[in-house]
Amino acid sequence: MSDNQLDLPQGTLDLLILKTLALEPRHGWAISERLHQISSATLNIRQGSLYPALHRLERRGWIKASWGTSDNNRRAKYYELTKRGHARLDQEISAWRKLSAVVSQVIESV
Amino acid sequence: MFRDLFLRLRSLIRRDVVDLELDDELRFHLEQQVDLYMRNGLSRAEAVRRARIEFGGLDEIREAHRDARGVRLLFDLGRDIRYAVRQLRRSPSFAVAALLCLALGIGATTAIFSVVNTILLQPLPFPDSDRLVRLAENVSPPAPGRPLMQRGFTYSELLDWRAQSKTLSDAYAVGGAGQQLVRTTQGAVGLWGVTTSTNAFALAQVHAMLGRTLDARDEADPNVVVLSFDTWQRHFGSDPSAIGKVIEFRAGALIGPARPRLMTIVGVLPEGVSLPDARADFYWPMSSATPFRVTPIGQLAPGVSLEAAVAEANAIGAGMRPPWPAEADPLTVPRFEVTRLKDRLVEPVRPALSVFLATVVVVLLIVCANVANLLLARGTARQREIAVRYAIGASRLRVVRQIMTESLVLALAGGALGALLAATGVGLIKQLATIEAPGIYRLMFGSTVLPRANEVTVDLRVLGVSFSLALVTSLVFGTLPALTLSRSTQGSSVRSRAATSRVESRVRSALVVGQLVMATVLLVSAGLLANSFVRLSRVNNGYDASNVLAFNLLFPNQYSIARKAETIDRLLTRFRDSTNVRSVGFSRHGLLMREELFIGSWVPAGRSLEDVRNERTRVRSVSDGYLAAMGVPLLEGRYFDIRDGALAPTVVVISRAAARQYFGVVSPIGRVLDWHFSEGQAQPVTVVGVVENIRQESPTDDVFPEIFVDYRQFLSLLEREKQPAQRQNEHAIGFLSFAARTTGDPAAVVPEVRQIVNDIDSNVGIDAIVPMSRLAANAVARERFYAAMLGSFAVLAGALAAIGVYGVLTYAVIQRTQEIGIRMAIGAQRGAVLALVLRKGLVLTSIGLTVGLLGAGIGSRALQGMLFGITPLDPATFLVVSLLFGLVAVFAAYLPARRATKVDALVALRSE
Repeated sequence: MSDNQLDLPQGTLDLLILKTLALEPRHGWAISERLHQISSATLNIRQGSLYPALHRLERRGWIKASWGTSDNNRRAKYYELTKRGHARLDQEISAWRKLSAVVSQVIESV
Repeated sequence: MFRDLFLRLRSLIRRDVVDLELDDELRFHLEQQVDLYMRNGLSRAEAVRRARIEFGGLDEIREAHRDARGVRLLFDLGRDIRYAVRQLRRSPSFAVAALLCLALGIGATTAIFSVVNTILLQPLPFPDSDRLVRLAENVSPPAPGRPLMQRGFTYSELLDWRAQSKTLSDAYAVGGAGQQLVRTTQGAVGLWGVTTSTNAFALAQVHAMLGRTLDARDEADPNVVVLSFDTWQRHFGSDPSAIGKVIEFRAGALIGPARPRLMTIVGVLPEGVSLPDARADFYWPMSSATPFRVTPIGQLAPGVSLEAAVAEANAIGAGMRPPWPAEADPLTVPRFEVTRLKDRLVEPVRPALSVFLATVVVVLLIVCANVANLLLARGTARQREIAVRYAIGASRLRVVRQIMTESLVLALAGGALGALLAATGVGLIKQLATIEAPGIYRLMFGSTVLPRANEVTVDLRVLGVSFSLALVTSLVFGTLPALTLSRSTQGSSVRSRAATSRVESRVRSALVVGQLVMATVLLVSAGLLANSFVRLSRVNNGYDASNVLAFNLLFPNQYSIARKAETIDRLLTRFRDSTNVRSVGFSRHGLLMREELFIGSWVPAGRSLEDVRNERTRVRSVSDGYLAAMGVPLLEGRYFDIRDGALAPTVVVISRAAARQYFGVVSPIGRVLDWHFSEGQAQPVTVVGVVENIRQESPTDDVFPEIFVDYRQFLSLLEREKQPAQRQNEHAIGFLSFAARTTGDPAAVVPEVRQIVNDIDSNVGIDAIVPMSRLAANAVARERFYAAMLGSFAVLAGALAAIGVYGVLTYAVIQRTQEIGIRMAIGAQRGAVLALVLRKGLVLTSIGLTVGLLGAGIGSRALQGMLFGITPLDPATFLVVSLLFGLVAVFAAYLPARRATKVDALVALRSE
């Protein structure tokens, strides 16, 4: 892990996972790889956080899991957003926007 | 929501599958990453290495994953339980000891509490049974100084009473039907019955299992009978078609020549059920014209107190009876008594059950102390393990939880075993209480020492309470070491550890002293009861029951006195001829039979009838041979023999007490007594022998003056006196208890006796044919039961306390191994080391014993009513118990002390 990598604030990992799944179902590795790419290698999600998070989201009913076949023809567990998951994603995004706006506002003004 | 629950459950139940799926998923992830690195140009080995490093620990992910699945707590619990079981299996002696203690404690407590609860606290198993009361009148005893006698009312008095009473809403009557000879498929048998007023079953709410009980229609047609389950099963082969059959009842005994009665069976009662307080083989409807006294059973009106009923009873009774006779001892209780049926039933065992209850609580406390001690010792021995667990990062909560799980597993297993033991224990207690009393004796001794024993089952609530107590003990004392350790800065400081163990060793010593105290109290109490029982068994009852076969013969009541006497004579001749019989005879009423006859007054020369009017002397009609067969020692003169026939001069054999009463210190042989049989006329009789005093029922009976008359002479005397046939029969040959002294085992002669009776007259029934020694044992069955019960508990308590001493000292030796090693290294003798450990044992034991003996001195007073021949402070018992128990305790201390002397100095010094 290099210095230009960031630790995620509590709770944001859920938001990011939901976001990555918004377009299409993905398996765990694809999620972490996607986050890695989009964040220009700044975000490196540890498996120790990713998988527990996935199962937490599954338990809450925001995503659901099913076994499928990967591009290279191997058995993989795919996660997709449920209806409630979509709604949740919208909530989280707006909450995040508000939060980050407030945080930046505070940082800029003081 | 449901999905959440489903996923959690699936995680729990199919944990293997879920974990496997996770493994698959993670492996897939790893391989994807490896592929990626390889596509980026790394070698496969390097790619795998980097992926692995990034990936982190697989177990760590699994843990985190389980947290996320929300099963962490339960998963840990499962693992803790498995770990606990493994730990327990690794130290089997500890596990077995702790389990046994818990199981014994829970089992014994539950069994006794269940017994006490059912018998003393639960109402009788009849609806509204607590409202049923028995009415009785106290009358002055037949002889001064004897206990008061109780008597019922005539039926018409009862009707009167019921009309006057406002505290009783209704009443029914129970009377005797006597012993009846009944012909069954198995031959002539004797059955005991009661007669009841026809409203009895309805009032007591006792219902029939087959057919019906007695009711109002039986007033008009009273020739019906209801059988007990036992009778139906034993003599009518459990045949449902017995209902409607007609059976012939022939009064077997007291009631003289009379016609047989033909009765139709209308019903059978359920198993174990009888009318309350009226155990019987059969029930007849009572005629309201019955001349006999009946026992009135009343039903209290709703909301009426017993006191109000007693007050009213004495008001009504005062109007019915003349004033209490001035010459009788003044009454100390109400003249008319009203007793709840349940109290009447259970009152005799209440003191004993209370003692058992106290005992078993003490045993449970000792058990808890022992379990606490075991757990403390083990916890302390494991401090190093616990310290290591803290050191490698286990949270305090986690460690405590693990230890608690272990205690929980112990308590649960102990509880399960305890429940099994409780069930076995209840069975054992019932069996121990069982009295083997056949025929007529069953109605005398009952079938068990414990009333209502058939109702007793393991009480689940009680089981719950004792289990909870065991659980709390194991949790508290199991966790204590882990808690104290975590308080002492995680066991890093040696000094604080030493301090902790000093506190704990003090707790353990206190526990052991407590155990010793309680065990001493119990052992002394049990010792008192055992001592008392031995004394009771050794009492000279005036006869020798060994090698005697006892049996009662029942004659059909159509037989005239002459025919009965002649049959008896033929029977006696045949019995005498048997090579297996040494001597044989009968008595008008046998020993252990709750009956006494006081007939007329006996006046020696120089005294007047007025003088002896208040002296009561028991009269017993016997055949020659009876006294010899019963082994009643002859002190002077001779027994009856063949000379003393109907036409010979009337002679008597008298007991030692009678000799003293009538003749003082002078030899009574050849002297004459005037028997004032009825008013006006006296019959002179000559004393030919003096025999030892006989105690009729039990060793606790007072000795009574007694005079024996040969039945042939008695019959001719009654005839000369022109007594009615019924009285002749009743006094001389009314009830025939035979005794045969056998050459070998009396039980082996039973078939021969049956054969002889059948040969001579197949109409004659045999009742209760049983070795006399078994009957005699029944007389002390209650005392034997008490001694056995308390004895087992006391031995259990003593053993537990000794184990406690052993455990604590063993542990102290292990803890002081280093110190002992140093002492030996610098030259301490083995004797000195032995003394070092023994001293501690002796101090504990002597404190425990001293306090225990003091406690026993106070507590044994509760046993007062259960003791015979000794006081509750019997010095011999106290001395023997303290010596024996002291020895056991010192031996328990000696074993670890000897172990201390075997400590190898070098090994000991290296042990820390």
